[in-house]
Amino acid sequence: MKRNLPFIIIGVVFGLAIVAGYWMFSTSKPQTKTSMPTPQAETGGQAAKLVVLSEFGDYQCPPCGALHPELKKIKEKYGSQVRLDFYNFPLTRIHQHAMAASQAAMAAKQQGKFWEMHNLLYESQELWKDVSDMKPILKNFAQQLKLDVEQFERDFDSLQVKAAVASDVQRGEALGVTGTPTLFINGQLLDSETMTAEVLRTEIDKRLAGN
Amino acid sequence: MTDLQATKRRHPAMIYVPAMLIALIGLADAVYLTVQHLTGKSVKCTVTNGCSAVLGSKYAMIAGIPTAAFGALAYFAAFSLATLAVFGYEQARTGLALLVVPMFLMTCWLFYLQAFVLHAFCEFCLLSAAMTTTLTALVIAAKFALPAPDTNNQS
Repeated sequence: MKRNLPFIIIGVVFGLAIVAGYWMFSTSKPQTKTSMPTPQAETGGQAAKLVVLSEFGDYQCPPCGALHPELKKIKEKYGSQVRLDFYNFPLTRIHQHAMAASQAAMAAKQQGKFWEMHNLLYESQELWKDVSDMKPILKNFAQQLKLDVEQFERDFDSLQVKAAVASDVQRGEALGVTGTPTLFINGQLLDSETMTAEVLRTEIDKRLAGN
Repeated sequence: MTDLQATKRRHPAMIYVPAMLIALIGLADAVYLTVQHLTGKSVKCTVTNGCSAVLGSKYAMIAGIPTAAFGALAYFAAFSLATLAVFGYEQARTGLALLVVPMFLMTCWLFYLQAFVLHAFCEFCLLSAAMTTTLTALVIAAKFALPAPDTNNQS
């Protein structure tokens, strides 16, 4: 018995590791406690003529880049009736520059130019998606936007900016986001399979009419 | 049994039982990180802020396999060898000493990446680094505190 004891212990630990791993894997489901902003939540329960469109996006994702002009048109059409929120959801396993792009947007936010950097990143996606070194491009973007470049570079690498991106990712995962772009309208998930610019406008009109 | 024989029997357990426990903690940590990676969930840091930055980086995978999975295999091997060493398998002591060298080098490399490339720290990776460092220290302690393994006298 003593001769076999070490092998029994090793076997038990191996079995426990497999069982624990399988248990964690099978019980690993998205949390549902996090919620997206809704007009009611933001106005203390008062109904408001506002539709909140929240995007979980990846700056290197081509469908996100394709959706971007549509969302811009929607914002131009509806003005203050629609608010766009953007949450970083960089798919780092398939997009090598997605994290850097998100950090650049959040670093620009530190100088009040988030949306300017956001637009620049999406609108020039084709130019940078295949480059080997993203940093000179981001520096150039910062110069184009007349940011304090040294500050931008410091913020880009700061824990604050990285934590902000991580917080967006965690928020998305808690809401069950698995891909990009994922849109929520007034906190309600839109089916990405059937989502077109036209459907988006219809959904917005429906909610504005209902308010 | 002489005093010398008693000393030889007592000392391996003093070093290798803690090594078993350290390897178990490392194994649990690595299994957790592997599962989180495979399910695509981001790990939440409570002490540091860099879990997503570190575990979402390109260094979190080697040849398409989660880096943590290699850690889990290494810790399981370390646990097995430490267990055999406790039970007097002296070649296991040599095996463990050989195993901790690449483990420690890998730990140094991953720590360097966190500190100087990613500029972000993940607490689960730091826990693993601490476990590997302790394991290495125990193996070094065994080299000085215990008689050299007698490979011709397996139990």
